[in-house]
Amino acid sequence: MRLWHRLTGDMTTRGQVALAMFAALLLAAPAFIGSYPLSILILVVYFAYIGQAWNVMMGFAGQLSLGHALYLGLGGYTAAALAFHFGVSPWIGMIAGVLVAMLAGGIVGFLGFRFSLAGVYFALLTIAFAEFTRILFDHFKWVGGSAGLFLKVSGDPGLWHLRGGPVMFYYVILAMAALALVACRLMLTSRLGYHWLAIREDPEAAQASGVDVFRGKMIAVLISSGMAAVGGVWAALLQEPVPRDRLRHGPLDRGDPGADHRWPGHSDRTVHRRGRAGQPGRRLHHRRREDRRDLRCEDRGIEADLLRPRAARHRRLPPRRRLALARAQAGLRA
Amino acid sequence: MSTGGATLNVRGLGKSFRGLRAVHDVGFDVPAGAIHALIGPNGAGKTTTFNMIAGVFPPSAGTVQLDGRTITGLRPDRVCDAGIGRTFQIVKPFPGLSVLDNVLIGALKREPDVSRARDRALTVLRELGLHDKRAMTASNLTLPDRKRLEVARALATQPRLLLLDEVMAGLRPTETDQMVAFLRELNARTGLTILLIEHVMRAVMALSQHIVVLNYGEKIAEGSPEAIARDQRVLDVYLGQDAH
Repeated sequence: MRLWHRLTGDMTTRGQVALAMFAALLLAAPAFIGSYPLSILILVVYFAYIGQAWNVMMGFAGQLSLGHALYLGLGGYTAAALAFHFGVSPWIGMIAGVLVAMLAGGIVGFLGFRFSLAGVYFALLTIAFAEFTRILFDHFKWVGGSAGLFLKVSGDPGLWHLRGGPVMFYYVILAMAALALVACRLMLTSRLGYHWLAIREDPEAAQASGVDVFRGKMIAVLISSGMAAVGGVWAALLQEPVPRDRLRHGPLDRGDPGADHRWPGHSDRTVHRRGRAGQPGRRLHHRRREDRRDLRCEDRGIEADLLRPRAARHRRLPPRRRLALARAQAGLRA
Repeated sequence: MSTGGATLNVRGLGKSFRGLRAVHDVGFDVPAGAIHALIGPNGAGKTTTFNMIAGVFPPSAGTVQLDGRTITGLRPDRVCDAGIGRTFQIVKPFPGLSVLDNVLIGALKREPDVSRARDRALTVLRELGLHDKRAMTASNLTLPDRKRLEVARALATQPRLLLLDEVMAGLRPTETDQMVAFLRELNARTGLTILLIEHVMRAVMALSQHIVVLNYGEKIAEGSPEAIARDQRVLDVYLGQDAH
């Protein structure tokens, strides 16, 4: 009962009923909506989760991080690389990814907080770390360099390998978002949460009230980066390719115009890929054709997709891509 | 609410900001359970002295001891741990939080359990007459109320020495008297040691048993309120040399 009160706080009964109805709606949604609305919904819930991770730092502790994509990407890459090279389950990879991201978050946080970088200067530091890590990964061959990592098709999809259709991914991210919401609420109403609020509101007064400001900020950055990393793992293993640009800039990014149609729920392809989509023009198309060839050689599973009626595939492509594909099929060089 | 008062010993305290000598060789003692005042004209170094005691910045010279334990150069939160609560001259409430949460954060210092800390915070708010305003956002309080909130938050940390930096400034005479009465009662009931910076002489004279006078960063006089009120040097710096 006390826990319930902590979770709901000052929420009225009406609010609680509304929340319960909203939750029920989210739970039931996949049964009623088509694959495209579902793909949008997956994105919405995904950002709700990532936003909650970010909220711990900015909303609670008042530390503006613009480099959360770093933790997202490190989490995703760690789990993906472990799965790719060693066949490690993404759930174990997730733990490793979280640890790596927390280490990075700890370093960024320590540098910023130890040397009292506040506000915009701390934000700049976080951007710098995210950017140079991105450049580093462009040349990091073990994880595929600028091309990204191509996850092999798993023989047995399911929760253990975090492979499956959009519905599975939807429920995984929904569970993550709900857990994050509850966890954040519990943290906020704890002693630590009040310390964060004090730090956010006035660090000097917080210190005078006996709050260890450095410690509070460090805990915030560690929790926040760890949570972001879990989101990164999820995004990396999402059944459809996640462009690396998305991982680089995360929720705050301009996004990649060529990448939008490659978000989840569009098809039932079982190829998992994270690749560079920096230039949404010719280069992208070229590489995607290559990818398909490679995968076809590597894994017969892909044939299911390639053998489907061309028209069905065409419909999912933007006009320029249709043309490119048509040319390729005609044996022409695009 | 507090566990008695602590003795404060300040020895040879000095602070220079680059070339500017803000405080030089200031020393005084505040016995346990006493109420002492620190006065002086603007820019005399009173708040700088406070900040050195509270750990905002380390002194360039000298030592601060609380109950014989050296606390010189400790971080403010460690100084708070040691048992010193402080208010800020330029009030620093947590502006976006409720009055209750402001005080609750102070109470969490000694009481890790949130709901028990909330009870303690409510008790302190009741004592300071802020109980009715507990749900208000701190930034919406009037200045006198924010000053009270500063005191409440400092008291909630259950200090053994309370540093009050001009908490009467801006209060109306009746409010000043209320605050004086409250601090007196608090001191009598708990034995809490109080060191206050104050310009409101009405409060200084009514409250303090002993006064330290600073001018240009140096201690120029020290003694009982009556003696200080007659001290020629003090009159000179306060009223100007032609005034008598």
